[in-house]
Amino acid sequence: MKNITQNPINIVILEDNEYYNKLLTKRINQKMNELSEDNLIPYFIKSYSNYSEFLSNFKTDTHVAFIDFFLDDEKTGLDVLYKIKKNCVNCKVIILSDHKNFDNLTLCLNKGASGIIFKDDRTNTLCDYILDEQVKNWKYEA
Amino acid sequence: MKLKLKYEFRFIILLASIFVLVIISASFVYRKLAKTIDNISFQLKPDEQILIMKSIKNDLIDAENKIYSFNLTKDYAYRASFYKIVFESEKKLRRLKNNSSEDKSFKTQIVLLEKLVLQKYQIVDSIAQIQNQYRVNDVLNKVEEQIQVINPVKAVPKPKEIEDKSWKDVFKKRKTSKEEKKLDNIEKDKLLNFKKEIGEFKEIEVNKELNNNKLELGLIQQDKIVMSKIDQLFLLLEKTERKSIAKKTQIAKANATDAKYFLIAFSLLSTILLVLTSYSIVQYIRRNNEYKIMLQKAKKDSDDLAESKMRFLSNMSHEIRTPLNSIIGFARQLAGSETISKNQGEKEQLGIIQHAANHLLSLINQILDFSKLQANKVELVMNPFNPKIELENLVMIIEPNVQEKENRIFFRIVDKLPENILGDEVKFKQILLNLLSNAIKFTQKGRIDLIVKASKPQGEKIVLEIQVIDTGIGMEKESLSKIFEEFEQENNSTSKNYGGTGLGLSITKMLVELHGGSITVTSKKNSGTCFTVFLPYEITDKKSPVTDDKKSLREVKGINTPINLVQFLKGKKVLVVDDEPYNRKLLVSILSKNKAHIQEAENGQMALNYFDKNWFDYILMDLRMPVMNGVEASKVMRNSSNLDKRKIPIIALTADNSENVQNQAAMFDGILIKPFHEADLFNIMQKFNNSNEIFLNSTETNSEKTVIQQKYNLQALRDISNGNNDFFTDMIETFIRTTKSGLFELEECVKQNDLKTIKKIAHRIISPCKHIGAKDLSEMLAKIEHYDETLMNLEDIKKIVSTIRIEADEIIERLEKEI
Repeated sequence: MKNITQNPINIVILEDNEYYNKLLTKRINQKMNELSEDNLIPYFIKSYSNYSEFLSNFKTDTHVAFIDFFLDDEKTGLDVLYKIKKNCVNCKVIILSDHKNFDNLTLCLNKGASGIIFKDDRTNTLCDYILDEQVKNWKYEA
Repeated sequence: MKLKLKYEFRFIILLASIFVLVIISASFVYRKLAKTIDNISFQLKPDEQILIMKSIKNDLIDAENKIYSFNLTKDYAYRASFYKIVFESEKKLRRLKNNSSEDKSFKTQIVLLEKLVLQKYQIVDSIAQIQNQYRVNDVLNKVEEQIQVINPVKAVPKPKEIEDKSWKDVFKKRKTSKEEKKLDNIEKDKLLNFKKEIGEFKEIEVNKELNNNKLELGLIQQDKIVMSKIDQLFLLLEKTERKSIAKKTQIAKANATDAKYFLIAFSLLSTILLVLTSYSIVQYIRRNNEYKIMLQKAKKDSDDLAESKMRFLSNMSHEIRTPLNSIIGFARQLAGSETISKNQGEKEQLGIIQHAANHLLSLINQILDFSKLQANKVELVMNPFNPKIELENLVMIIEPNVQEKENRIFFRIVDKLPENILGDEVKFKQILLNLLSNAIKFTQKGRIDLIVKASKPQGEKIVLEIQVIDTGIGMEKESLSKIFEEFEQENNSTSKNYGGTGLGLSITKMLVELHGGSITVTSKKNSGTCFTVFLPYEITDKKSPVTDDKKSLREVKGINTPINLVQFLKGKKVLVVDDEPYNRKLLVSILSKNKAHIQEAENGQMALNYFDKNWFDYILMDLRMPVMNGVEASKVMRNSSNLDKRKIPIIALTADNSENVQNQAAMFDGILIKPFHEADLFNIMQKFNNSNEIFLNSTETNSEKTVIQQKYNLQALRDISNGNNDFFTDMIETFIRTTKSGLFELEECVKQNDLKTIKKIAHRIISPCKHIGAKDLSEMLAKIEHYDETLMNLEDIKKIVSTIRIEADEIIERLEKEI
């Protein structure tokens, strides 16, 4: 079942706030470390705080992307979502938002976002859930 | 109690009687039954005497048979067997004799039997001896036959025999002897002589035999008689024996009947006792239930009474607190006025009013606490707290009172206290405050020691041992047992000299017991008193929600004693809603002194009218009012169509510190319990103005009312750091850096009137602020993030940004200390 020659689970984070970026990266790292079953499930996490840098480094074999909705440079998570889906249809895009702008977020879901996570007390739980699901899928594919 | 004992005693006596009776009856029945069983088993065994007798009888027959066999076969083995049987019979007779009972006639009969049996054997033996004498006759017959073989003609005729057969033979032989007369004369004579001799001898022998026969006949006759006697004797003995058995059977029967009656009696007795026991138990249960119902009713009545007492006290306390609020409030206002401060006499009189009012307030609080505790209306609210910080704060709070009586206080922690424990910090402080206040009250120019140590942890459990030792007036030993009882003081003079309701220690004890702890006291008259409290707690990893910010009061910066002018109130519009004119007047006095604009309303309805037509920065709302109460009015305000007006801070004012009010707390932005100190009012109000001023109520010792604003909470960050200090520090540094740069950008945008970018920046920095629990800062940033251009202008934004700067700088400063 555990085919370690299989591609690692690639996770990317785009969050313009450095603090929150680090926090999220740390949390995702912790969770993936828990799920990796003593490093038998390889994973790779990369985080960005800048829209351009994110897109220029984005790889088409990315499994999960956590994207903040409001970004600098007049960009939003929706813009990133379009770009990701254009290059990598299977990538799960999770939009992070700290306020409930339902119109924009509904639009994201309609345009292919796999989920919305609000930055509140439940952020960790929902991130954990997404990662759990991803690891299950990875095992299944293996 | 007496009744219960009586019943218990009766029940025990009854049970003991049943036990004894059952044992006695069971023992009787057992003995009777055992006897009966013995008898039956004895009867079941075949009677030995009869058996021996039968055996002897068989021996007699057997012996006779042996003798007959011997007579017929001439086999001496039979004769030997005969003697053996005789020997055996003798033994059996001896046994019979030995086994015979004490019955003399029976014994005599046995002796007779012995004689007869032996006689019988002698007879049989004699007959055998007689019968054996025929051998001579046989020998002679053989001799005669021999002679005839030698000379059959001269055969000597056979002697006359007794039996018929012998006589025939003799007749035949006489015929033969006539033929022999023709034989040789010499031989004839010899033979004749021989024949004659033989004949004579034979005749003698035949006579002897005849005699023997007679003797034998006599013996046989005798034997018959003896045998008949033996049979009769056997019958008699058997009869006697059977009689004895019948007698024993009769006894066994009687025993069985007795046992049966005993069993019946035993069963009856047991049934009666069981019925009695059951009846007693049922009675006991019934009465017990009756008492239980009575007790429940009594308890309910008592609870109802306690409840109504508490309600009454609560109402009374409300009614008393309301005027007291005016008294204390105006007294404070007067104390601050220039006229009073110049007049020493008036100042002193005002001091007395203040002191008396505070004392009255403390009494009301104590009575209310006591009645709540009595009505079991007090529960522990479990939260993590740092005992060291709480103790330090407590010492600081009481320090002015200590100094007032020229005392010194020493606070010592033995070893180390756990950083965080799970418990009710308010009650913890209340216990210690009561004990410390007590120590201060009874000590003048002395020393008060507060010594705290923690027991060795047992798993997560620890016990805090707290000692409050004073060098005050102390107590007599006899008084110590009573001091924890309500309304008890050492003696009347104590209450006269030192005041107090006598409830303080009683409340303390109840609070300690509510914790599952204990309190002890030792004291010596004129030497001092030592109270020792043991309070169990649980060590926790969780930190107090305010631990990060709740530094010891000594460490908190910017604490001011009440100030005459509060800057943040300047120009603010305040709606004061209270039906009590004195209270309104007091609030107006406090607020207008600080340049706030006041609008007064007498009830909720009036307040709503003003609310609809005007904008207010604050609403101070009394809860109990005629026409429309404060809760209803606040509900209407919270549902106002004007969204901004919904957010106007409403601070509830109430003299009712009951649970109901606490439950309604969520609806209000703050609750002020009357009577309140103006510092309390300012502390609550400044939260909504983003002022960084903190006002410490220097005279009020109730720490519950001391509000120190919580700035942030790093628990979430600590949780995710999972002990990784580098990460924790890095995150704090990142927060500081990004927030600083965000603030800088924010201020730049304000300078450039770039309101659009302001929103984005606020959005960017708000998430970390939320994450570290900087609630006020987050709320202020949210105002900018979601600002509505139609409702707010640049000036408003500037104000908010400046308060954000102050708040953020303070948080950053504290965070820098954290790392």
